[in-house]
Amino acid sequence: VVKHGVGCAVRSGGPGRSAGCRRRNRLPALVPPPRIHRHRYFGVLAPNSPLRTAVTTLALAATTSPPAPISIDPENDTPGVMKEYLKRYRAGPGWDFLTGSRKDIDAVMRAFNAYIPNKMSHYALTFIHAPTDDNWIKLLGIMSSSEFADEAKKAGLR
Amino acid sequence: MRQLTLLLRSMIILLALGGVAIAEENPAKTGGDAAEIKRLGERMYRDGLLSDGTPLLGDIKGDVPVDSTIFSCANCHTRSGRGSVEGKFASPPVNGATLFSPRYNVKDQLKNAVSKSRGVVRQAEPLRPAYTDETLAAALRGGVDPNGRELSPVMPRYNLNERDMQILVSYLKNLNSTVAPGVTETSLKFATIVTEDVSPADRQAMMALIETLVTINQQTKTQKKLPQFAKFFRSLENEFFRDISVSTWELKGDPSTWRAQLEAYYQKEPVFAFLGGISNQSWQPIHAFCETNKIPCLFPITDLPVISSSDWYTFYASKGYYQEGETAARFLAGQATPGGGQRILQIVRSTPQGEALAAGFTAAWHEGGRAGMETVTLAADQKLDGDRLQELLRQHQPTTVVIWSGEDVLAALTGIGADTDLPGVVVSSRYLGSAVMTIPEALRSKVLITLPYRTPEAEVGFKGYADSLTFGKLKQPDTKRIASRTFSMSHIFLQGLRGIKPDFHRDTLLDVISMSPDQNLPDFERYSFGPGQRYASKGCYIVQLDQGETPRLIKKSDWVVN
Repeated sequence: VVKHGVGCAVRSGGPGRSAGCRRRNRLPALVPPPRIHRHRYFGVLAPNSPLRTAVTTLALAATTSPPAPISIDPENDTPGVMKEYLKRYRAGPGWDFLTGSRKDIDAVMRAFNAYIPNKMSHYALTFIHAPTDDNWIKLLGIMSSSEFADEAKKAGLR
Repeated sequence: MRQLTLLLRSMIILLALGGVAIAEENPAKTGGDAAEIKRLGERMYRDGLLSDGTPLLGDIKGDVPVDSTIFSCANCHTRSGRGSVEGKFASPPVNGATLFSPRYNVKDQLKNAVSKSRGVVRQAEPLRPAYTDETLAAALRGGVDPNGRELSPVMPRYNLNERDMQILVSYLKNLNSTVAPGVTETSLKFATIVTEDVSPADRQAMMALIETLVTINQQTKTQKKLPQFAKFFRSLENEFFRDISVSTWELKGDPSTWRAQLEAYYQKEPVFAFLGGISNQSWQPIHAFCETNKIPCLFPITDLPVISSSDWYTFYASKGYYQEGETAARFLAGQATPGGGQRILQIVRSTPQGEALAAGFTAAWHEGGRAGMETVTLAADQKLDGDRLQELLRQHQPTTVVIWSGEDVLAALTGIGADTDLPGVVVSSRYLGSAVMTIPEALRSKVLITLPYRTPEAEVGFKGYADSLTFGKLKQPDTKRIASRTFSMSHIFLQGLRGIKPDFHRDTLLDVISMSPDQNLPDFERYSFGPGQRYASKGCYIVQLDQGETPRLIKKSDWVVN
């Protein structure tokens, strides 16, 4: 697992330095309540991606808070389609699959430095952030549950 | 040099799909008849269910459990076994031809292909020997290939008993192992479908482009003979080149008789796929024929497609009228004031167009349990006039009236009594035709129009696209967007064909097209693709006319309204 510290503070020397940074700091507000968790999880994964399940399973194993995957295929992922996904992925209470306009979703991806112009070439990314820390940690690739637990521990989550 | 690199790269991809026919599995070994074994294998591969109906289980990286009913083999390796590349993970091909023959490195593979075309059998050391039933079982269970190499950690290790393993192995062995209809060593047969109601000019607009496709295919053959065409590539071309032919299947009479006519054509001449096609009537009978016979049908020109989330074989450019209705409903729902209280009156002329618009509108409006909608149906020959509209408005008191009818809408709107307070109005520009531009200025701010294409200003950039295939053969301007829509079909078809060579199987073609990146093509915004997605462009604009003698269409929404 390659780990990058891409939090604002690390990168630009303090929050609010650049537009991108300010946007990133505002991101939690984009996610509707209930969102007061020990940490937040975003799965920005394409529909039908095999990796989506792997990552959401990880999230469930590692946290009690529900994941909030955001579609990167908003043209296809209408609320009706998203409901099917919820069923298929055996969503528990509190799960929200989010979709929106292409512009908003591109903004979210860009803010996380995870913009992928071609949805067919997306890759697995996991973002975690400790309650006491404003920095997001970006984890690349697919991890086993124990690897994820290690990363979470290092980030001060457990 | 850059072109050469690209060419080489595409050849490497082509060569990754070597083709060898595999013998049928002996059904006695797995204890059941062949058809049942195939059905169970297919269910396991596509839906992740074992022969006893329980989920196929496995794990990733040792401790991430995988339930195959959530993501199955087909999710990554695709339905055809063609494999996929997604982000940083490549899921290799798993069809019988690939698994049960040795895998060579790229250099040897190129040489092998060339040697084969010259009739020489070349022995090269393979990277991986052909799988056997036993080694494939070991790879599926333990994640180790016959050379002892670990498979990618993302590939689940499956927990399969002996019988289920035999079913799965047998399924993979027979996946894409028979030669698809319409394919020979040297040729590929296609057809296009034209129904009797299509005018000769419209038919010619589509056929002009399809004829060009065939011409270009034949020209390539001539170019290959030129001395400039390197010998090495020429040999490779022999392996991959096919003569393309496209026949025209004309359907006559009532749509209920089309099925029998299609069966008769197919009996006489089995084709690999349908390229385009055109009809002014519902595509349903042709769609159903393609589903039954598993024949791909690529982007027919129809505004009345079949709406289904599970059908597999027909690709449409959009959902046609249905999509306009759907977008209008989502747009209106998004305009709701916090207090709610929207009352929608939908007036529908019972023509196929009106009914498709209404079906889309109704389905999208009821998404999320919205209420407050009433529908009034007019007979197909019953014109809407001012008095009737006024009466309906008085009776239902709607906040918005949605009228799915033709030119009579204009007469009704202008003929309405001056004392009536007109609510918001929604109409379809495709149904109204050019009359939509004549909406009186006084009404323009009240009338929302669904526009299924790009605005004329934005379309300018796509004007010359179809010309590259029409070669001036069109006998009249392409006002109905037939040539331009056929251009888009040709473009996507050629990309798909390039992607499947030389694995000429129907499911492979569909899978490869499904994995295309987004495309910007004439008429519709953003053709986008994905597994199982069969309506490429997924939106429609809501527009209004501005004031003035030659009004412009002003966008009120994005292309896709969620």
